[in-house]
Amino acid sequence: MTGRWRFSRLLLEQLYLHGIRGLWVVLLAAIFTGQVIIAEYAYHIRYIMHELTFVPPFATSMILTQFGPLLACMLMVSLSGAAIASETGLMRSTEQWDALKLEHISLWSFYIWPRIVACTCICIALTLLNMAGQIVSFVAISPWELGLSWAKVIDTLFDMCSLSDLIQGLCKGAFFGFSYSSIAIFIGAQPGHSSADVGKRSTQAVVLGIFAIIVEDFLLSYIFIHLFN
Amino acid sequence: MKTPIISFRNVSKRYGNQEVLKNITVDIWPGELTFIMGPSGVGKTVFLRLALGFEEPDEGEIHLAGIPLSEMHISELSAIRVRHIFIFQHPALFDFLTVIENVGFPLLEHHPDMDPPYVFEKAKGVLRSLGYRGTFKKMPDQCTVGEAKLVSIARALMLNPKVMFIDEPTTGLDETTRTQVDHILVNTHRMKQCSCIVVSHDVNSALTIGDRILFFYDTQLHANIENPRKFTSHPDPLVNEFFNHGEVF
Amino acid sequence: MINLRQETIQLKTFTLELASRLFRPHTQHWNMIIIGTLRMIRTCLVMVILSSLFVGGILVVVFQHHISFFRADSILGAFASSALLREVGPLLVGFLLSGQCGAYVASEIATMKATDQLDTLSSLGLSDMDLVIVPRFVSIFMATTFSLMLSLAGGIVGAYLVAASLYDMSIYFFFSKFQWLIQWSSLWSGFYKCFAFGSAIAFISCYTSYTAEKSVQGVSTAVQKTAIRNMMALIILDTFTTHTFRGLMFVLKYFGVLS
Repeated sequence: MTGRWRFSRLLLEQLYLHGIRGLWVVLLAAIFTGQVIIAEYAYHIRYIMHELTFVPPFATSMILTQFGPLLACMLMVSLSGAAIASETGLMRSTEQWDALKLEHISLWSFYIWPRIVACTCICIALTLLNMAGQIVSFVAISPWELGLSWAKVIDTLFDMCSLSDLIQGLCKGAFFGFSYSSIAIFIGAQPGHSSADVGKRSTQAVVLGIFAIIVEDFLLSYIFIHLFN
Repeated sequence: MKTPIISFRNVSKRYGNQEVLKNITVDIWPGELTFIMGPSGVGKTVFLRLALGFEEPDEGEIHLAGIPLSEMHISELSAIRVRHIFIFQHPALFDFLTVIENVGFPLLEHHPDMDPPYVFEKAKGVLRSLGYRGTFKKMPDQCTVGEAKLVSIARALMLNPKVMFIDEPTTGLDETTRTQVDHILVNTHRMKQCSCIVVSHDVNSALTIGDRILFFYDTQLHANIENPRKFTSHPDPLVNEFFNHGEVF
Repeated sequence: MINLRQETIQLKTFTLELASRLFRPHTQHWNMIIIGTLRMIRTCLVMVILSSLFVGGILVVVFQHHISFFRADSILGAFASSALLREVGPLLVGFLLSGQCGAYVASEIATMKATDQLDTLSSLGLSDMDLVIVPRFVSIFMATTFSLMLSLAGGIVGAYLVAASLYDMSIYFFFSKFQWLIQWSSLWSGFYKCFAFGSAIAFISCYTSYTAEKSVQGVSTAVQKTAIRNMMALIILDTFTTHTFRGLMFVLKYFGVLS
C-alpha cells in the first residue's frame, strides 16, 4: 500500500468517525442556540435602537463570525478531543506507541496527521452546518420573537454581512479544529502515566482545548476585523 | 442448629449470552476456612459477588446469614455487610486518604462518637500485627502491592468481621508476602474465630491451610473437597490435574 | 430501545436516591464538601479568570465593529457587559467548567468505581452515595456556581481592559451607560443561569460517572460522555433559562411587582 493511499484511507476513517459523531450534536445545538441569539439580540436592540429590523442582520453577522465556529468547535472538543486524548493515552500506556516506532512506522503519517487533518476539515464543515442551523432556527421563530414577517427577515438577513464574514468564520473553524486536535494528541502522548490516568488526560484535553479556542477567538477576531476592514 | 453463612440454591448467572455460573447449590458453614478454586474465568469471583449481593442471580436463590438476599432491604444488607466483609482482589484503598486514615475510616464512619486518635492508635496496632513495615502517613499510590494488600486486610479487620470474603489475596505478591498473607489468614481464622471464604489460585496454600475446597470448572461446582490437608488424589482426573499442575490443560 | 429503558430506570433510581440523601442532614459530610469545593475552586480559578477576561475581550472587539456602523461608541462597555452577563459569559465559561470541574470529578468517581473503591465502601457497610456522590455533587454545584459568578465579574474586567488598551477608552466612558442599559434583571438572569448550569454540571457529572462501566475504558468513556452531555445540557438549559426568565419577568411586571 503506498503512503499516500494509506494516508487517505486513515483520513477517511477519522473523518467518518469524528464527523458522524459531531453531526447530530452540532445540528441539535444549532437549533437551540439560534433561538437564544435572536432573543438576546432582540432584547438589546429593542432597548438601544427601538427598531427590531436591525436584529436579523446583526444576529447573522454574529453567527457567521462568532457563534458558528465557536460553539461547533467547542462541542467537537468534548466529542472528539477527549476521545483522541484517551485513545492516544491508551496507546502510550499499552506501549502500542513504542511498538509503532520499533516497526519504523511514522507516527506522524500513520497516527497524528490523519487525526489533525480530519478534525480541521470536520470543524470547517460543522461550522458551516452550525451557521446554517442557527440562521434557520432564528429565522423560523422571528415572526413570534420580533413580529417581523419571514419575507422581511430573509430580505434583511445579510445586510450587514459580506463574504469576508463567512471566510472569517470558516478560517476560525479550521484554526480551532487544528489546535484542539493537536492539544489532544500532545496531552495524550505525554509519557510516564499509567492507564488509570487516561480519564485525567481526557479532562485536560477538553479544558485546554476550550481555553485555546477562547484565546484564539479573541486574537483571530481582532486580526480579521482589522484585516477585512 | 447452625445456619450456613451462605446458601446457594440452583443459582445461575449470565452476562449477555455467556453463562458464568450454572445451577450452583452449596452451603458454606461458619468456622471454616473455605477455598474456592478453579481455572481462570469459571466464575469464582462472581460467586463471591453474588454471595454478598453485589450482583443479582438470574435464577435460583441465595441466603446470606440465613436471610434470602432477594427479600433483603439495602439497609439490612449494609448492616450484614459490616460483619461479612469483602476484600477485593484490587486493594481498593481510598486514594484521597492516607494509609492510617484508610484503616481507621470504616470504624470512624460507623461510630462517629469514637475518638479519632484512639481509632488511629488501634489502626496502627492492627497494621503492625499484620507485619506492615511502611510509614502510616503515606498515600495509597506510594504503597507497594504487598503493603496495599496488608492495609486492605487491616481495614477489614478493624470492624471485627465474623466472615471475610477474600478475592485472590496472594495474586501478584512475592513469595515472602504470600507466606505472610497465609499466616494472617490462619491467625484471623483461628484467633478471631472469623470464617474465611477465599478465592485463590494458590494450590499449596489451599492444601496446607484450608478446611474445605470448592472446585469450580466449566460454570459448575465440580468437586467439594473436605479436609484438603489429607488430600492425595481425587476420583475425577480434572481435579487431580488441577491440584498437581495448578491448571487444567 | 432496551438501552433507553435501562438508562431511564438508572436515571430515575439515581435521581431519587440522590434527592433523598441530599436533604438528610446526618448524611451530609460538611468537612468533605468544604474541602472538595475549595479544591475544585483552586483547580479551576486561574483558567476561569483567564478565560473570562478573554471572553470579555472577544465581545468588545466584535461589538466595537458592529457599533462603529452607528457611531455609538459610548454604549460599547454597557452593550458588551450586558451580553456577557445575560448570555455569553455563563455559557462559554460553563463549557470550560464542564470539563474542568465536571469531567474531572467524573474521572475521579469512575476511577473509584473501576478500582473497586465504591464497592469496598458497600462491603464495609457504608454508603457510596453518602460518602462519595453527595459530597461531590454539592462541591461541584458550589464550585461551579461560584466560578461562573466570578467569571461574570472577570468578563467585565476583561472587556474594560481590552476597550482601554485597544480603543483608548477611559474607565468613565466605558461604564458611562451601564445604569441606562444594564438592569438588575440582567444581573439576576446571569445568576439564574449560573445556578442552573452549576446544578446541571453537578448532576450530569455524578450520574454519568456513577453509572459508568467498571474498567479503564469505562473511565475514559465516562469522561467523554460527561463532557458532551454537560455541553449539550448547557446549550438546552441556556434556551430554557432565557425563556423561563423572560416569562418570570413578564409575570412579575403583570402583577406589578416590577415596574
